[in-house]
Amino acid sequence: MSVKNFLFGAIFLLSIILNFYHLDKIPPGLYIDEASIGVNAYSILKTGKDEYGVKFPLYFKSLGDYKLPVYIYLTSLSMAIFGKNEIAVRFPSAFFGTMAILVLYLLLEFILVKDPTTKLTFKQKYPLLFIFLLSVSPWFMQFVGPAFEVTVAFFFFYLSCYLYLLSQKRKNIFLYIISHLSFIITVYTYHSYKIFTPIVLTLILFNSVKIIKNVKNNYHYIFLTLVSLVLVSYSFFPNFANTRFLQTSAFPIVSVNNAIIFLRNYISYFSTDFLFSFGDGISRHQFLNFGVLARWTLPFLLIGFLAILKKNKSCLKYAALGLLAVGPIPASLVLPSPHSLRSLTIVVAYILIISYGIIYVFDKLRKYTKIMALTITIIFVYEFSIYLHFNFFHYANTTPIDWGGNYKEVVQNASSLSGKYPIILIDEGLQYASEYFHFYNDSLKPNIVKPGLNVEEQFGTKPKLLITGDLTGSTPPSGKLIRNVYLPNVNKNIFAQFWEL
Amino acid sequence: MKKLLIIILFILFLWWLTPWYFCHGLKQPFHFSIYQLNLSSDNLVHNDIGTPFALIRFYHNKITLFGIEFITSYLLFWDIKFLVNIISFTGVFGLLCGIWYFGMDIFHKWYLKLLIILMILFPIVEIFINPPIVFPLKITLFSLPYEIFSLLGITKLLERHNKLKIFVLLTVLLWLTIWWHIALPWESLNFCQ
Repeated sequence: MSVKNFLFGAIFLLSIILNFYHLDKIPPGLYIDEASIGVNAYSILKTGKDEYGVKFPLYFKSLGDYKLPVYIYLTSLSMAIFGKNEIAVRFPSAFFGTMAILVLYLLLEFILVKDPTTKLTFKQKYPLLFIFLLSVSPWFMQFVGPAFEVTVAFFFFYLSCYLYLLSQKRKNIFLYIISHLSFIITVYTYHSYKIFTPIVLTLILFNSVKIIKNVKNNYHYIFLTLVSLVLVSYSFFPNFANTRFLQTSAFPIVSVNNAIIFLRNYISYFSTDFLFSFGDGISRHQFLNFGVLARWTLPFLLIGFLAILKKNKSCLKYAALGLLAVGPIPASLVLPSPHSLRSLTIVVAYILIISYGIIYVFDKLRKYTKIMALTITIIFVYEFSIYLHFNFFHYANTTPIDWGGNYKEVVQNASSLSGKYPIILIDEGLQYASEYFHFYNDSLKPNIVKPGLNVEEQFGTKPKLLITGDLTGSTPPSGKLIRNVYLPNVNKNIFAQFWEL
Repeated sequence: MKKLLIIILFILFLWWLTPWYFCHGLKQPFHFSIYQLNLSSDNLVHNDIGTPFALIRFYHNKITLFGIEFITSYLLFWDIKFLVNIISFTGVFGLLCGIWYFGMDIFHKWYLKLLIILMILFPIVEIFINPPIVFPLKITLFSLPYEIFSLLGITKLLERHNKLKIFVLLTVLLWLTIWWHIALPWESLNFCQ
């Protein structure tokens, strides 16, 4: 086995460990979209219908946000293997996230082989360094594991790019079709790609037209790309398909100032505040006081950026800078901005530049290779171990509410008490509780009630169990408190209370 | 024509600063505070109940925290969102042109060296000392090296390239800058207290 293959294997193994370790426990619980994906996926697996009874839908109404179908159907497959649990919901994300490392390695090797401006030693080191830095990048790691659809779309997007380039080299129409199918899948997996993929397909179309001028009788390439563009455009047509965009649009009113708002959102993706200090501020997307990139990479990002700009006509330059320029466009159309989830595609551009910067510095300062390698390794290991410490020790303590509170325990407690209390009521203050009941125990049929409702009149005199949020300090319901369910944080805050009525 | 453009740009930079005159100072994250450092440390250690003491010391010591807080504050001064609000869109473009065209010359020409030293030092002074100067004066002085470097960068750009193309590009940038000021007049107040 060559050193290169050994290193690739080691990095891939590291990636598997990082992405699959405690998949069900880190992050600490299912957040509402994950629970909803699980409910719909299980329903599809068992009945072929979603939770509203629609047979094999293209859009899942879910929580009113009309979820895209690919992740849910993939989860159905994973539930067929693992059953209805957290691992099954998160498995597609972890699996495709890990496979993305492999695809990106192949893509980068392919690009570099075609690049005559790049040295051979660089071609050997660069893809390995790139996949290593991507595997340990906070931006990438955070989204591989939890059931974020973007990870699957990310995989299919780069797979399509790789297959497209391969099809061009081998003049293979079959690979071309597969690559376009893969492009279409991205659009039905994650919303950002509804904008991003058509841009890339348009570029491919221009490229195909250029090829036609040189090589006659290649019209089928243009035809296939046009068909793909039509299929991609179809994703915009049903009114409800744009619900999520309308909910989050940065332009609620038509105004001439929208261009400036777009520009402001766009530049926020290059902000050091976002990249290295605070991320996008959403706890589900990073840890407190962590940016989306490791701080130690900052000098290499700057050096790499300047060095790659100065590089003469090179595929790598166009790929990295093109991705960096186009990547933030879809995410800039919506709020909040910056948003690390919606812009995950550009992590590749940033890591490409950082890796380039590292190799460039080592190449220029060959005399100091050993001392530099030692210093960088120490800083990297320390910062990465801090990241892991936050991941394993702090994250569950600081973000339980972001990850669904402790609904699993609520449902488990309700299940154990259901024999004694035939009627289970849930206070409407416990948002989305019914979705978690569907996920963890579908046989319980709780009723959502408003505070102050006359439950005797509505539900009769049978013993009733009322589940509320923390009512400490407010007027309790007229009944006996049976038990509390706590959040899994250090303070052990009350998450839910069980009352006998 | 070139001189006229540079004068227009300089006036634009000064006009761009006007919303900052309603500020009393920069927000807390721009300044280092030992009190804040202690709070952060307590907050972090609080979540480490049950963790071995040595591990807590290793990760949440004051040296590491100081490094993180300093880098965070320092990067705020070089954040593109902050720079756009200090020297405008055109100014940031000029700054990038300066870095690009001067390259290694920065270390050979005294005035460039001075500007770079000022740009590197001013944030450090603000982070640790926060000099008690009237804020409009402070922000004007603070932005001056950035503005001059940016103007030098644009001058270099005009010298190097096809003038018509560059004039068109600069006109678009100027137009965007004015539009930005009209569309988001109080954006800079996000950084103020």
